[in-house]
Amino acid sequence: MLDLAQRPDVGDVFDEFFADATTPRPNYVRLAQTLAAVEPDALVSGVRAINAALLRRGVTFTVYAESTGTERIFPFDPIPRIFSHAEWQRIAKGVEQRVRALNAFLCDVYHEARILREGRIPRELVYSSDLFAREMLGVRVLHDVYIHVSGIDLIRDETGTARVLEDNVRTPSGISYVLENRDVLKRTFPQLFDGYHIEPVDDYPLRLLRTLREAAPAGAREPNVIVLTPGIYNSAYYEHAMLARSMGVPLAEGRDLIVVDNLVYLRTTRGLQRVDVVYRRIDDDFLDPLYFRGDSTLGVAGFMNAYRAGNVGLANAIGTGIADDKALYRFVPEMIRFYLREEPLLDNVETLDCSDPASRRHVIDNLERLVVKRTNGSGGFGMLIGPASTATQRAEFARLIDADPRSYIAQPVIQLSSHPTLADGVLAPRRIDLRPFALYGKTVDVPPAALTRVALREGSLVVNSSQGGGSKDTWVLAAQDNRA
Amino acid sequence: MEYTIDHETVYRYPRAVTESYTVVHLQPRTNLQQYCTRYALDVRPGARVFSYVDRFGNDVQHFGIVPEHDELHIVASSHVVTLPTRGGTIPQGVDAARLDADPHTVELRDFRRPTPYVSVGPTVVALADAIAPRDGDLAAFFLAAGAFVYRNFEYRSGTTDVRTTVDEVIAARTGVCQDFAHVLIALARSRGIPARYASGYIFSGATPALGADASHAWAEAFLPPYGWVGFDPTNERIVDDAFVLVAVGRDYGDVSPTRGLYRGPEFGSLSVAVAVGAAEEQ
Repeated sequence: MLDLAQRPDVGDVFDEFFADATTPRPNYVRLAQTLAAVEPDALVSGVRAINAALLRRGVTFTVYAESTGTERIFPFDPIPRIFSHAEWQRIAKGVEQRVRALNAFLCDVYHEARILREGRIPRELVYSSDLFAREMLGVRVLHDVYIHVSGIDLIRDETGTARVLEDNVRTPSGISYVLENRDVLKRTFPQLFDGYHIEPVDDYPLRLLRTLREAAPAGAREPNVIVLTPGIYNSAYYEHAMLARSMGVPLAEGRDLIVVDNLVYLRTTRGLQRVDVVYRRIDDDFLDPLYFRGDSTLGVAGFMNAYRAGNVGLANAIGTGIADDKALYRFVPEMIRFYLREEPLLDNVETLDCSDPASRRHVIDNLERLVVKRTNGSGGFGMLIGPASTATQRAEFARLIDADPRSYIAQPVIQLSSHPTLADGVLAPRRIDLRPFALYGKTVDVPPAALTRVALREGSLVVNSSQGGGSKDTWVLAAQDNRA
Repeated sequence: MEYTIDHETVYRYPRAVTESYTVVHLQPRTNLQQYCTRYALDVRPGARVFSYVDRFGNDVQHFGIVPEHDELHIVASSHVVTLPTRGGTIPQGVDAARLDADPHTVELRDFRRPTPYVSVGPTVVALADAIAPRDGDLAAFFLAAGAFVYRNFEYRSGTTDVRTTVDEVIAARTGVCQDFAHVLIALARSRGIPARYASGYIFSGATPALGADASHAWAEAFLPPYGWVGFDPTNERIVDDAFVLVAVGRDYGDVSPTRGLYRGPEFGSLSVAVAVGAAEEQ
């Protein structure tokens, strides 16, 4: 018997599973009953089998910061996270709104720059970003869509309010875990699904393919889509291969492409095949050595010009990084009001900009109470979590912030919500977040296929795969589910 | 003045190359002070040439050649009319307050900052201070800085290449027009003056000019109310109707006349010949 009654963290942490000491929330009542009948040993051995299977399938990622043994799995936790239908709808609407505003911002900042002219966002903040792609100034992208695929990271604060922690609008990864997690959970613990009607996740590749086809130049009747990967050494190569396979489209590297007469082609055994849309999973810098990094061997010479001419669709567009520069994050609610004339449906987390002298002083004086992030960082690197830091680390960050204030922001420590998670054979509360994915084609689609990451270390607030995080299957109850 | 310009670039490779891809900034600009009445780009081996306007307003051409080739000839021929109004006024009385109050200045942010070829470090600041005190007339400073470069730097080709930094040029006090333009831009930017790189040609008529046998380069400063004012530190001269403007950018990297990539041997040779002639008045 699993002891579900073991209560989570003391104090002000929102519990996803329990409404109070003994009562599960409505979405979790049935799961609690099922779990009560499960032998802990069966759960533990099942999870061991799942993790071994994930490793065999190659569902691994690479930790760049380590020099050896870097191929790891993202550990799977068998206790699913469950959203009611209505709750998911609220989140999906908020994500959709946010992505539309971020897209409008990109369209504006690379053309008229109204939001800068009107002083709503400091021009200096945009122009000082190394994510601002000047090569895109004045370039009309097809259908005015920049952010075809995004992952918006949400957390639930102490009060249970969902807040956006960061936007990922470059090449967000993680969807392969969503698809794998559902698959392995169904195979290994089918009984957990008893009594639930949940939304499928396995149509994600089809929805992605539809979005990508909508990114094609107007004339393409049966658009040819390819997935562009940096290759097998990339941390998310498994995902690139999986998405290409499940969409039924070619997986290519830069050397497989060629630009002839301003059109992009794939070199195939049957000759050159026109490419209409590139779903790229490589960074801007490596797309075209003529316009970006000249030392890159990953890119395609001439690609930028084919793109500029509207002869190929690119998902995501070049230069989207300026929209998820962490120094601009605090302006996203303003973007929503400015471009959409709507009030934000999802709240931000309060954020201090170190380039402002008063804020910088406050941040440096209060490092042990704050989370400090590099504005162009990701994956949980270049980050200081004040309460868990040493005096040496804080001194180092104070020095870094003073040397380059533009590159740092600070946020209060948010106590992420907790969820029962299998740890050493028992269920224990662990902190979680959520990454829903949004697909922007003719409209914005937020499939009910989100990634829940869990900090497997007790008390830890860092859910990143590279920093001891794991993942959970995430269920969205179907509209007809009576708990909806 | 009216000019005909023939600018020939030849790449030769020791072994055949394939899939060459080239981007060129060779088309003279048309603006209020000059008209480009004819422009033709001839490429051999033959290639379909495409064109776009970049964010600085330059017309850019590009082309790819897939089959094997061991030579690439690019000939840009143009006919340009320049108006005598250019360079007719010596700018003066532009102070920092005037510059900051100008609504254009904020949008010229990128021209006031260091760029890949134009670092603005202590060496540049010290040189600027040696030329003129701070808080003076910015127009006078720009002209004085250009004159300083002309008088104290020696024009000598072969001592620098495209990777030479501004600090190295200042230390060596030698270079070519491209280096001098970068130094003058760095000096201007160190005082907060928006400054940009101009590439083009200079006509060597009755007064022989340095840099007339190749692509030329100079610096432009944004000095309200005059707008962009060009100064050629290689010839100590305000840019006038003897100059033909081809392209402007933050530095050389934005407007190099030709650049490209190919598959094949690492080293090839490049030769450039430029002929600027005064056209017959029609």
